[in-house]
Amino acid sequence: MHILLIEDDRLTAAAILETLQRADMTVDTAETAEAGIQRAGQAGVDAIVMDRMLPGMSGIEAIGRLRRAGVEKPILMLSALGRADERIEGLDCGADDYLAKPFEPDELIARLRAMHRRSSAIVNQPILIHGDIELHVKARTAHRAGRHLGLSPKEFSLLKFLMENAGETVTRQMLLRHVWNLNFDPQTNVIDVNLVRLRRKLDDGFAEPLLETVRGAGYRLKPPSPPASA
Amino acid sequence: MIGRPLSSIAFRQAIVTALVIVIAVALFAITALVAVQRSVRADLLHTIDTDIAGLVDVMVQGGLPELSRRIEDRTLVHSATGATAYYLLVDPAGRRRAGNLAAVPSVDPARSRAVSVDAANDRILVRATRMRGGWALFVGRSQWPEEALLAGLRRQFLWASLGIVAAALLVGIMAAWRLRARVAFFNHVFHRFDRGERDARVADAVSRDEFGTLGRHIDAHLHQIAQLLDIQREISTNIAHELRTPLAHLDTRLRRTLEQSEDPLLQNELACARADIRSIVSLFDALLDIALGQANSQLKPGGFDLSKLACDLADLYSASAEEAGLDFTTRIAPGIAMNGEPMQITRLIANLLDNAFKFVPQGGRIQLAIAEGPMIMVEDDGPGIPAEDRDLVFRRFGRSGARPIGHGLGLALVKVIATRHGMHVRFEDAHPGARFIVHREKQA
Repeated sequence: MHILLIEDDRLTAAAILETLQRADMTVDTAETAEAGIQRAGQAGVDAIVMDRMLPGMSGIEAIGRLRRAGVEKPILMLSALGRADERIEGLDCGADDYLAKPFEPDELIARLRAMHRRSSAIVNQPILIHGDIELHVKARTAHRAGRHLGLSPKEFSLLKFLMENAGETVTRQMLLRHVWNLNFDPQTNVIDVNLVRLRRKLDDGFAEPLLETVRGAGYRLKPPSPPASA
Repeated sequence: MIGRPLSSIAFRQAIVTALVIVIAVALFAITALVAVQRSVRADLLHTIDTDIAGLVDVMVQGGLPELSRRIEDRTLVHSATGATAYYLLVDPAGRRRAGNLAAVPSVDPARSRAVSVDAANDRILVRATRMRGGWALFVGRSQWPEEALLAGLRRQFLWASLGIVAAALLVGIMAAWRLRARVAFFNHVFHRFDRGERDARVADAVSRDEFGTLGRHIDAHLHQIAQLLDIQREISTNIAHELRTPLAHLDTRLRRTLEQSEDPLLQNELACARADIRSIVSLFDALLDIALGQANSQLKPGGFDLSKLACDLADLYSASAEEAGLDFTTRIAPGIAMNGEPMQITRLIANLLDNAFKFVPQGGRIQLAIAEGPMIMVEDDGPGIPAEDRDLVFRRFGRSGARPIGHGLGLALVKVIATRHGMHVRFEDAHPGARFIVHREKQA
């Protein structure tokens, strides 16, 4: 995955660069919006990480210019402004995701991967399959090893999001935004409890648990182990 | 506004002015009529007195026969003014001896007083005088020219008064209408500003009167308020940015050190330090949410389905409730719509639910209700809030002694969001437990 990082703060840029490279991503950097816009139009970039407050031109303005110029690449806005209103403002201006500083490196990686997947074809498939889990998007039904999983509408959306990002960590904030459409963190552990419920329906009675907790980061549908050879 | 003119100060003033004019004109008319009547009466008495003096001279010079003849002559004369002259000569025995008065009026000749009496088809003013030998002479004049004059005057005064009052009322109402329109315009400018149109101004550079001065004062203050709001927003944003950036750097350094450290004690301390950074940031965001929510009354226009929003949120919390062993129920009326920002209202309800979930012990009961109004209610049977702490709960950092959990900003934000949406939030004792009610303020 090839990322264009537009960030004027060198210390932050260095930390992000290190994080992305550790996750096997290729990174181009730009320190100003102008330089970033120029580079974004060129081939090879899969996704853009853009700081919100850049010298000369704000990230919001830069995204507007990119979108008007026909650049459809997914953009994650990174910002020192993290209130719910500011997140909504960032998303409204055309960013695909919004992450406030300070953030966990894993959160950034998870979001970039999910964003990249959403921009590719995976999400629009009528049937999602992960191991022995089968999800019929139109019929809104889920089965595991042929057994019907009685999921509530929200649990279905939750599993769908996890399956679209199968194998990757999804964070609580990502789930809040994509499944519940919330741009703020409730003070209670509502997300974890909903995941625990989903796990019960998904994994109870099966030999191999698939929904795992990634400590300090979020949740992941882990890749199924290859069938044991006879 | 135009629908209730009587409630307008300007219209009330116009009506009061018209009433004052009515009373003034009436007083003037009465005074004038009384003066005219007195003057006419004095003239009439003067005529009668002159007549009496002349006839007494005739009596002195020519005796009774001459007096009788002169009286008969005078009764035949018709006055130019049309006021009939009346005479009566009565002998000492009280018998009529000359004159055109059919009956002796009840006037005492000894006292020489003028009295109004009715005679035949006329009303007359009559005076009597006693002469030599006990004879009495009565002289009178018809009063109808006087009455006709006064009646005419009264009519003229009435029409003139009606004209003056109508003109005063018309001018007053026109002035009131104009005044009202100008005040209404000022109010309109304030409403627009309150709704978030920060460039709303009176913008009247031409009026040289008091309203022109007031308009310019209003504009200057609105401009100042708009500037202060901009500055507040800018400073808040800058502080947020300048605070978060070094905190992010600090967090990165701590994380790197944490990753390189082998010492479990150090790892634990560093993890705690990172958690502290996050709580500082979240506290700061909550404070800014409240401060900016209070400063900015501008709501994005648009309606949303409050019932659906509440159902979705209840769905999110119901799993938590089950896990925590709480009886969480909803009573959500379907299809309740409201205007405002759905994310803000979601936050309001989430904060109320978070608050209840934090304080209600296992086995407790929590209910979320949505009703017409719109009205949002979260009720629990937890420990409630002691009476002495109830004023504190909606204040920043206003933690109750009985509720020491959290940074004490959740309910303050609830109040700010409710106020921005024109709603009122109040706390009630649920006996036992707490009940928070958010409802639309009644229109005054």
